[in-house]
Amino acid sequence: MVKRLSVYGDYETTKWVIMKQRSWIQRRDGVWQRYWYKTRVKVTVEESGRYEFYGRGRDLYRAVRLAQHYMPKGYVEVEARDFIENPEEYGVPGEWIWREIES
Amino acid sequence: MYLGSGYGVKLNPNCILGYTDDETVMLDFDDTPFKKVKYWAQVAMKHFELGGFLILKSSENHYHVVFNHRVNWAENMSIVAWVSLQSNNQNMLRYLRMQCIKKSSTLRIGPKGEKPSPRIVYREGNEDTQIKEYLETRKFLKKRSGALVKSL
Repeated sequence: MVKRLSVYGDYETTKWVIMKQRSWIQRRDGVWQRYWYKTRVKVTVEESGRYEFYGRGRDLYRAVRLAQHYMPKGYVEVEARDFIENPEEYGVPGEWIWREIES
Repeated sequence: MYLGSGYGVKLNPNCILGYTDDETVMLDFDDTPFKKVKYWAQVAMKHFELGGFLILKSSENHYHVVFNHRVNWAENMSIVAWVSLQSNNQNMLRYLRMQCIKKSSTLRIGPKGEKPSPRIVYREGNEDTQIKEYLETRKFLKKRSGALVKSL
């Protein structure tokens, strides 16, 4: 019997973000000229995501356990067996966090 | 560290575990007293011939209802929309919109923050089809991880 389970919530993960950084260069005529260059910075971000697992019971349980460490890249609908075999394709390392939402 | 190698592994309570199905009629009553929930579950069961239902309490004045008969997705959403309009429940209309976006219904089965897992408070009618599947999934998770669905 094919079952479906969802694992969802908010999580914290690190991401490489491209940012502009200001620098100065001295020209031949002696003037200091400002310029910007692009650099990669590692930042911690809070996001929300969701896994939709389907498959057989044993695979589902293993996928749910693995999902504790691999945060979903947005909305991910995947067969539990595929996720177990290649979690990096569907998720990124991170940690689930609790964020109270007033509604 | 939440992940372990054996059975009864503690899962992180910050991530929510839900049961998803598009053929099971599932209702989410927020801020509704139990009497009203039971009334609307009985009305929907009789009107759409859904065979039976199960009421689960997720927290104070928050209830989930799972019906027994298998329906298709269009029929499923039609029933949820009918109940939410008849009962004038704005929270359920929001639930309906979210399920329509996902194209499948989801109800929480694991704990959420400090809230425990939903527990059964009332049963009526048959439990041989969709309710059976729902209960089997809960039971399976309970068996595999006692800490995950502690208060079933």
